Amino acid sequence: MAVSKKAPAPRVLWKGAISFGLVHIPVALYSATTDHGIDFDWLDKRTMDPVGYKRINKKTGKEIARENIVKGIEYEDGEYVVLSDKEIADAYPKTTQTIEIESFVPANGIPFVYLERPYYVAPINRGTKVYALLRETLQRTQRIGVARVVIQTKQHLAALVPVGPGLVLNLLRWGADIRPWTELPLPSEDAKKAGLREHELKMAEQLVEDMSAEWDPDDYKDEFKDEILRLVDRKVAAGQTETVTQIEPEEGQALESRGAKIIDLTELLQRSLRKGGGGKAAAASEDSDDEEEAPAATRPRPKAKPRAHGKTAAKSSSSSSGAARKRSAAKSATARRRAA
Amino acid sequence: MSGRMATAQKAPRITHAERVIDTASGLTKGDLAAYYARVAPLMLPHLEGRPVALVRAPDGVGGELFFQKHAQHSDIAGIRLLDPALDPGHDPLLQIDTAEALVGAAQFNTVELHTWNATSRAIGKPDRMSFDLDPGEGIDWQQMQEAALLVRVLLDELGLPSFLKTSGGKGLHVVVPLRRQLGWDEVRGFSRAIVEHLARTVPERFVAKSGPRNRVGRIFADYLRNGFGATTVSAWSARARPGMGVSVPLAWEELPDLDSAAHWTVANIGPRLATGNTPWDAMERSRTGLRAAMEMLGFMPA
Repeated sequence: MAVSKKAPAPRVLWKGAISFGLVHIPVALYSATTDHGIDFDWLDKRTMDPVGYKRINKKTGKEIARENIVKGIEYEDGEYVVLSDKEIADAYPKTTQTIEIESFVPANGIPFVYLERPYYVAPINRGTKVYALLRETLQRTQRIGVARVVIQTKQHLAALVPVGPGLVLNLLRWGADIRPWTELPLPSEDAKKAGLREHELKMAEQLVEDMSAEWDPDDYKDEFKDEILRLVDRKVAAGQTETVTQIEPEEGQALESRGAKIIDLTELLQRSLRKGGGGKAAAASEDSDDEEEAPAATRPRPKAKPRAHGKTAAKSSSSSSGAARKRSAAKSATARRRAA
Repeated sequence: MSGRMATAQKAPRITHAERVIDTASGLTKGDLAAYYARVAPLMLPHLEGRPVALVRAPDGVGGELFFQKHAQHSDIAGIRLLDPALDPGHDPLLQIDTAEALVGAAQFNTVELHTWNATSRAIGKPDRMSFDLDPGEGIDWQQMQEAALLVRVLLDELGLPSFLKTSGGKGLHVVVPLRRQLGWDEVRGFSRAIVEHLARTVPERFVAKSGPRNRVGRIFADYLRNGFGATTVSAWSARARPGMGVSVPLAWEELPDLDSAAHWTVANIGPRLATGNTPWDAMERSRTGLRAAMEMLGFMPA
């Protein structure tokens, strides 16, 4: 699979300190996850041109220029309060550059439903020892820290959890974001009242024991993605590909993807250099009409005309998934080699 | 030069000091000269030893601007005329190494001071690479901030140190201090490759081409400032724009709290002077070569 699990070199997303009482541990945050999803681009089936969005005025149906868009909040039906970018920015929480621990709760005290996004936490600036001390203490006391942290203008609640040699900062959903489930038809928490009998419970426990195992994430794969990539490989091999017109992203598309989170773009940029030097240089040098010596790991440079090779289903430039992009880069390289 | 102004060494006399040069802020020529006198200790380290270009605004902000890189002769007391061989085929380049010359430039209606990316002693080997992030139409400040952070991400990834300053206008400047190893063509070529990589990787945010049509809604990280003879506005220079913003060195951590690239102006700069150049303290010791970064980006110098 071209979509390798090659670990990206870690990159600091945030620097600051864990802080509680008088303790101060300088740390950096690193992304703990990568996105390997599959990305389908929309194409016009008649021409294979990429399909994009336009912003329209919903009343007139006409396209609207970006400078005419303001942000409003509907406070009652059809009534809006308009807020300027400045007013919105002013309301951002003050960045404190601290992971401010407010309390230590039992390690199993936070239901999974609250867990949102993990970051790795590593010590910096000679914070190693006191970092280890905190990790060790949390392990021994079976506690995790509940903390507040501001990342990228947003305040988060988070759990600081010791895991193996490190600490993981898991962003938590706010209590108010979790829906109550009192309306759901749940059975009584009392087994007897729920009508369970002792022998039924024994049988069920037996079954669970039989199926017990250690959790190994490598046992599980996104089979849909693998299936799609196999299909793509077969189609490329069979020459069933379509040339895509490469265009400069138009404003509509640009606007659409402008919402992309800066963290995602950060990762995209980091990944963009990581396809390794040798392979990509070779691929690029075979592409004689391409003046770039730049990495093949990136999307092809937008062009107004179809590529000369014409056999490659190069992707349109609106994709946002790194997996798909790497895929397409590898694909193009293959096709080029064949063409050469 | 000089002789004509019967003034003390360090304080050239400012004529027509009461003349308002920026109607937006009401700042006068005297205010600007006083600003440069006050900021000289912070600004001189950025000017010293570098060819400088002066942007003069004899009719004030909004009037015609004169961009001066060379002079056969200058009335500005203390300004240096460099060896004409540095920039063959032209009159001598200018250099400002003293507070006297800086304030003297203000007396001659200089508003902005732009510097080369090389020193006059080693004019063939740039000692920094700069990226001028210039917003296209429809770019708001938050997008500028994010764009600068993304540029930093890429530079970090390439192992290159980067320092930030406001432009004093609409944009942000990112500066990479270099060891004086490579020539202009290599540095400029590589800066272009960096910008092209950005535009290819994040086309929804960046373009690699100048010109308003290419960058509606996107940002052009201007690498063209990295050529021989190109200049970028110096840290602490005022801008010949309404409000008279000032280009100020920043720590990256400060960027999220800033409300615009003209956050500081000649009128409100006072409290910032205490911070001075400290956000750039690490610049000298961070100077770097480019070989490893070039290799990472697959860039072959011609």
